[in-house]
Parts: sequence; structure tokens; C-alpha cells
Amino acid sequence: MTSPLSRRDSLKLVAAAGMAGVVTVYPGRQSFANAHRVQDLAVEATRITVDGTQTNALTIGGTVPGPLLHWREGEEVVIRVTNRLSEPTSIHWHGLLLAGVMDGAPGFNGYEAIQPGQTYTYRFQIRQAGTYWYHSHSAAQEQAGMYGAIVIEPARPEPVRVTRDYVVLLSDHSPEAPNAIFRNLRNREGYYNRGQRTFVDFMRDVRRNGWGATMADRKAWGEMRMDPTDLADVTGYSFLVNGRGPQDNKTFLFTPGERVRLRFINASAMSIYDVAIPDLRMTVISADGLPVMPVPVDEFRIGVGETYDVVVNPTEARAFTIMSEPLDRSGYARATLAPREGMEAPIPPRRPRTVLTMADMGMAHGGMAMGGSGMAGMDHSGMAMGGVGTGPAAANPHAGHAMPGAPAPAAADPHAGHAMPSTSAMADPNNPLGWEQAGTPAGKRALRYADLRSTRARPNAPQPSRDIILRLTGQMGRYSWSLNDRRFGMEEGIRVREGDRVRIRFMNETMMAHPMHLHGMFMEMENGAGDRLPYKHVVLVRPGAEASVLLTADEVGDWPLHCHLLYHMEAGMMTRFIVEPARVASAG
Amino acid sequence: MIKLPHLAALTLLAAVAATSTVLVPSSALASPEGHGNNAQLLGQPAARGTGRVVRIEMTENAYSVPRIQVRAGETIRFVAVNRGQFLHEFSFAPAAVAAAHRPQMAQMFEHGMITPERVVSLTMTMPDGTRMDHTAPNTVLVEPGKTGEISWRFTRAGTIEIACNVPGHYESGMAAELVVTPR
Amino acid sequence: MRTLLLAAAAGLSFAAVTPALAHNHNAINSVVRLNNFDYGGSSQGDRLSWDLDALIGTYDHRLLFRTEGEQIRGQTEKAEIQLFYNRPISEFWDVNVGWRRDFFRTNRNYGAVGFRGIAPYFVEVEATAYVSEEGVLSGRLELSADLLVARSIFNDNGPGLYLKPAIELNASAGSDRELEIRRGLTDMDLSLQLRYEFTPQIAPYVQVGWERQLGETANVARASGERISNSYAVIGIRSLF
Repeated sequence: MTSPLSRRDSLKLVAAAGMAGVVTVYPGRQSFANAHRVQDLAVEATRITVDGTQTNALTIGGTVPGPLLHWREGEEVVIRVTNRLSEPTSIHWHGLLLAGVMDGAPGFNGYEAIQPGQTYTYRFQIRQAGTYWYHSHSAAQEQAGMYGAIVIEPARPEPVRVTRDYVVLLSDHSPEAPNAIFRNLRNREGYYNRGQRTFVDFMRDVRRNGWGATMADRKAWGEMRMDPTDLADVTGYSFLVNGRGPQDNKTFLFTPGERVRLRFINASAMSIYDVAIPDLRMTVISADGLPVMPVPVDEFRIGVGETYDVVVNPTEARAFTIMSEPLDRSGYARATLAPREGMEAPIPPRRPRTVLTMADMGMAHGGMAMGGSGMAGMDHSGMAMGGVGTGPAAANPHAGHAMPGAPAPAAADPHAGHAMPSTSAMADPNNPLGWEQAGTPAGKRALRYADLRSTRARPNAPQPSRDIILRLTGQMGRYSWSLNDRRFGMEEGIRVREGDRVRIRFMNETMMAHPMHLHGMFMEMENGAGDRLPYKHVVLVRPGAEASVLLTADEVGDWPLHCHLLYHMEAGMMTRFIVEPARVASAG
Repeated sequence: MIKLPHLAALTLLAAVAATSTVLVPSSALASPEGHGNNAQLLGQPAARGTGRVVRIEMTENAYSVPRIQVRAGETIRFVAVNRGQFLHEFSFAPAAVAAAHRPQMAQMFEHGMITPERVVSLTMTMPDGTRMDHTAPNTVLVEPGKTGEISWRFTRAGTIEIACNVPGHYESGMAAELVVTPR
Repeated sequence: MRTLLLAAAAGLSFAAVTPALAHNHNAINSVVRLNNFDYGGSSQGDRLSWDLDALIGTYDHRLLFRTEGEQIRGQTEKAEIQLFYNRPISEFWDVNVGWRRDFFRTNRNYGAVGFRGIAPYFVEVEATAYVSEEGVLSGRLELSADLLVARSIFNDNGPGLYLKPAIELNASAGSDRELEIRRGLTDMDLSLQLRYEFTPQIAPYVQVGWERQLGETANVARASGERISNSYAVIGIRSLF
């Protein structure tokens, strides 16, 4: 972010690549020999072993995840990607600011998929620092293992001093082939949803809440033909940390007293996690690669494609479990922080799956009567509704108070409940209700989007000239996912002019959360942080809620904007965000 | 620079006492200084502007030196310059005392007494009558571009910690060692 | 009829033209569903029945093939195939246009128009109107619901036990002597299925049901000495390919 490649350079690149159709053309730049780093990566099909079981995988550089790419801000990197598959492939640099043709999304910015046997040379200057990742942007490949971490050292000193620095890359791996999963999803609604409410649940709810309330609840869902347990479309996953299963138990070493930086990356296909390290407080220091004002928390929720860097300071010579539970609680990813290899800490009690409420359906106000499932948490969900969505900021008068550093006793924090309801004050950890409810143990504090405040203030940012409405839409029964009711290929895309400042309002009309990812530019998430809106490349939009972002369209190109749940993207939940040059670029 | 009243009142002593019980003789618990008592702090405040100057620069999120060494019997005038873009604290105390103090700083933050860049007020009376106070003599909050100072007469040897307890800063590594050697 | 099929085929080939992108959001998808395949006893003797359908197409244009039939004591009571062009018209509803052919009691062709989908409370609905080559208008309504009774007690994500009540009702606006059908309601089938779904591919079930001819159709059958009702208990399997 600090030393951007000039716009003129980017324009030239796009123009040159567009004209030549060959991306190795790079006029007016140094030869490859002068680049600081040259990296060769081969894409191939192989088999990997997770918890002792072999499955098929597609790999970048022979392993899952692919090799850690360690770069330095300001340097120019060259990556030669050779396709050893029998199908076209691609590699996208998730979160990086670069010329469109280097972005690696086939069909966008003049970039074409790498054909079998071909080598594609990526070359770009690193304009930012932090934790990012890379992955295939071709259908059904990323989720088979084509992902890896990028760590970029900043040109200036880090705002954090640590002795150890680890990447914690979370992913979900299925023994089923991605195409088979997609087929199943399209062929039968709820194919993988094994958490549906049963008759037994019905009787339990009747006992707890009475016949009337239970019937009203079932009636409301029935009328909408929706299932409140549908938190994840796909099950059957193994959840991995750096490619290792829970039994493999990836271990990160520390010496007591050391500060350890953990760079969490959610490289999953479909899984959103709640991440906690029992008995160890984390301080979140960056989100989506860019630094935020430090926030001490006990746990955080990480959407697909997001990254969070945290610092921990374990002072005892004991092991700590890094526990990441997907929202549908169908398993967990586990790793261990320990002074020695082979040490283990207990696996914390598995958290119950939440049940969605009418608030998650966007029925927050009108739907109270309908959703009257009247359980213990219901009194609180009115508050949850008040804070629905991460924005617009004006709608959330308390968000500004929710600053970093809220201490553990949530009851003492009058504002916590309003901003985002994943605080323990309002949750019943044993009977969670509503998408927000992470089952956070009493007295523990979960990160809220409202906590994220960029270290880089923009006090004089211009007002957006217009609002772009992007409704997140879908038909669960057909597994058809779309934006503004149009699947990719049938939509017109969003056009803005270079330099425009716009607001994008993501209005989630579905009952699933969608991690919306924009290539090429950071979005400033309107979370109530005033002139310190956090920069994000993925914004997790809650079910039935609205979130908004501001954006200065300063990167000319034709950028994918899509849901990062891979099967949603594949089903059509993607569009083009086209930034047209302010004036026609001269080809010279 | 932020003006600090000298030798100020009790700062939510209970929390400090609770955590420091293990480390501190019980007689120390009644001591009025919120950031630790004089025994823990290896000396006592000295007249403002006196002593040998020790200069420390503060940035995100670090002190310019990892370790400061002084001798018992010396009076030191710590000059803390904030070269960063956020509010930073220069304070010294035993690590456990500082750790117990950090939740209070978080509360100050939460209640708007301090912001990421500024000090709004160093004291505040809560609706329930409890008083929040950040005016102890062994700590100074310094806004970006400004300078704060503390003069302290060290009387006993020991090793304590210099820390910035603005939420998240210590956790990010903003700490240094303060070693007082015997005279 | 041929025109209809051609139209359907044209729709498909149009939809198959997708942009040269690496996302197959509009790619052709197909599935074969064995809804029922069971055998057991009935008040009229041993009974075999099947119900299989297959879908191929994109999100917007699909071909639907369906075959249903029933044999009692080795004798075919019902056997038909249907071929539809299927297109979504709303979030929960599809429209079917196509052709049906009976192989029992006589070979009879029909033109067919109908819809299928999910009504509130998760009731699956299929309603179709037919015009036979003899010019007789008839209709069929099928309703069913899949109720999850319990999950495996050992594993929250394990197999599920489902209870599926279903009803099928047939009516005719005219008489077709060859088919022994008279004007009015002609026949119905009520059933209750208890299914243990290990996976959607492997789902064995037990089912009891009661089929009965109705109205004038029943009177005619009774007069000719046929039994007009049959109750059955069968075991079978449901699957998905």
C-alpha cells in the first residue's frame, strides 16, 4: 500500500497485454535477470495424506498448501507457473495490488488460463506488505489443494516485535472430487446438510418453549421453505492447518515469554471458522494483510478468503490448542502451540451448532412474531437485529464506541451488545440462536467487525458519489447463486470511472453468509470506525443483513467481484467490477 | 505534552492488588500508587525536571531501546518522545503490576478517556461511582509528536519492565527492560 | 409432439453455449434419481414397483425423463414413460412440457403440461394435465413430504430416518374405454414410507400403501369382477446417481 506502482505503469501493462495477448511482453522494464526473485511453480495432480488417509489433490509446487512465498515490499517478483494438468489452470494472487493481467483470473483483464503443458510468467512489483495468499481461479481446482500463503515483509519497520512468525493456513479438504460435490449440490437440496431439525428436536423445543411457539417457528420456516440449520452447503470435510489434519496435529514451537505472530489465512472452499486458543489471549494486529489498531480478543470468526494476524504471548511452558471450528460444527481444524514437539493440550469441548433465526432471514423487524421460537436467547436477539450488518455506519450509533481493548467481563461493557452480538453477554453458549452466535464461552470476547480500525487514517476521504446496490441472491433449491438475481455471464457488470469514489452496499437476501471478495483493490469497510475504516479484500456479509464498503476506484481494470464460497462462485455468484480509465491510455 | 498531577490518587487498586498478591508482600497492598508502590518501583518520584536525562523514542509499537540500565542512588529524568502516529505510554513497573493495569487501560479506551491518538481526560467518574484515574507518577501518556517526562530517584536494585499499556501495544511488543544496578 | 421435443432440444443447445471462462456455472448437469424401487406383498399378491427419473441440462433449460410402473403377481398394472422439457419459472417452481406414453393397458400417447415444485411447508408437488391422442383430457396430482424423524444418535452428522407420506390422485375429463377409465376421479394411491438414509445414494425403506380405483371407473371395474383396491407393504431402495 505504501509505494504503489504508478497508475500509468498499470495502464501500460494492461494495454500491452491486451494488444499482444501474450503476457510475457513487458515493455520498458528490466529483464528478468534483474528481478529480485524468480520462483518456479508447477501445477500437478498428486495424492496427499491427511491424518493417515490418502486422497487426490491438485498441488502448486507439489504440496498442500503450496510453498510459502516470502517477498519484500517494493521488490519485483517473477513467478513461472507451469501447468502439468490435463486441463487449463490459473493462479490468482489474493489481495495483491497489481496490474490486471497479472491478477490471474481467467476471462478478466485479458488474462487467459494457462493451457496444459504451458508456462505462464507472472511478473509484478510488490506494493504492499502483510499476509496474503494465492490460489487457482479455475473451477474445481482451488478446493482440491491449489492454495498457499504469501508473506510480505514491509519496507518500513513492523509495528510489532515478535520472535516467531508462523502462517496458520486453514483449509477444508474433501475426499470427494470438487465436480462431484458441485453436482450433488445441484442435484439435491440440502445434500450435505445433515443438521436439519428432526422430530426429536421438535419435541424438545415443544418441551422447552411450548407447543405454540414451536409451531409458530416451524410454520415460519415452513412458509419460507427454508431450513434454519443450513449453515454450510457441504459436509464431509477434513479441516486442515497447513495441510495437516487434527490427528497430524501441526505444532508451532515457542519458548515461554516469546511473542509469537500467527498469520491466519482461511483458504477453505466453503468453511467459515470460529478460531480460539483456550487460555491464550490473542491480539489482532492486521486484517486482510493490512495493519489495524491492535485488538485483544479471545476468539475471532474468519470468513473464506480473509486473513487475520494475531500476536500471542504464551508465558507458561505448556501446550495450547489452536482450535478452529467451522460454523456447522461438522469437525474442527486443530494445531498446537507448544514449547516442544509432541506436546498436546486438551481439545476444548465442541461447540453446538447455532440455529438461524428470522433475524438471519432479514426479517428482523417484521419477523419477530413469526420467529417467536421464544428460547433463552430470544430476548437478546432484538439487540442482535439492531446491529445487523456491518454498516452503514450511521445505522449503528454505538459502533463507534466499540473500540479495541474491551476487557473480558462483557456485562460491564454497555456497548458491546449493540455493535455486534458475538459477545458473551447475549449468547447462551449451549443453545446458540442466530448466525452471529459463536457459542463464545461466558466472559470471553470475540472479535467484532466494529473493532477493526485501520492504522492508516483517511480524515479527508471524499464522500462517495454514488451507491452501488449489490443484492446477494440465490435459490437454494436449485443451488443457483447470483448477484442482483443474475448469474455470472448473464449480468452486465458494474462500471465505474477511474478515480470515482463509490459505496457498494451488499444486501444479503439469502440465509447464508457470503464472503464477498473484490480483486485488485481494497474496500474500506463501513464498520463505524470513522476515518479509520479497515481495508478489506473480503467482507463477510451476514445472512439477511447489509454491509457496505467504500472504494476509490484507482486500479483500472476488469476485476472479479464474487462470493468466495467456491461453489457459490461456481454457481454464478460473481460479477465484473470494471474501472474504466479516466482518459484513454496512450499505448506508448 | 500532557500535564500530570503529581502523586495522584488510587487507581482501581483492587485489580492491581489481586494480581500482585503472589509477588508482593502483603504490606505493599495498601500502597496508594495505582501503578505499583515505591518499593516495587525501586525508588520514588523526584522533582520535576531533575536528574540525568535518558531519552527514549516511541514508535509503533516499540521503544527505541530494548533495555535501560541505571544505578541505585541516581535520579533519572526520562524523556519519552513519541515519534509515532498513535498515543503511547511510557511507564515502568514490575511486569505483573503492568499486566494488572492493562485491563484498566482497556476500560479507559472503551469509555473514551483515551483515543488511538489522544488523551481526552485522565480521570473519569463512572456512573456507578467508581473513579478511573491515570495520573500515577510512574507513567506518562504521550500524544504523537509530543514529549513526556518522568523524574525518578532510584533507591534499590532490581529489574522491572518499561511498557506501553495502550491496548494492544504491549502485546505487539512495546516493552523494554529497566535494570537498576546496586550502587 | 415432435415439435415440442424439438423446441426442448433447441433450448438445450442454446443454453450450452457458454462463454469461454473457467467457471462452469452454466455447464450441463445431469442426475438420475431412483425414487422408488420396491418389492413386497399386497392384498392382490406380490407387488413390484418403480419410479425413476433423470434430469439433464443447465439451470434454465432441462430435459426430464421419468418412468413409473407397477407389477402385481408378475402382471403389469401400470407402465409409462414421460419426457419433458423443464424450465424454472420461480424460485420453487418448474414448468414441464412434454410427452407421456403408456405401455399398459394399451400403448397410448399423451401431450403433457404441468408444473412441479415445493409448496410451503416443504410439500413436494407435481401436477400435470394430459391430452391423449384420443382427445381425452386427464390430470394427475402428486403430493409428498419428507419429514426428518431423527438423526443417528451416535453422530449428529450421521444417517437420518425419514418419514414420507405421499398421495397420488388421477382424474379424467372424459372416458377412455380401452384404458377402462371413466369421467371423474379415477384412482388414488396413499402411502407412508419410512426410510433410513445412510447417504443419499443408499437409502433403504419400508413402505405401506393403499391404492384404490375411484368413482365410475371403480364401478365399472367392480362390475367386471375386478378388485378395486389393493393394500401393500414393501421394502425397497431409494438412490441417486
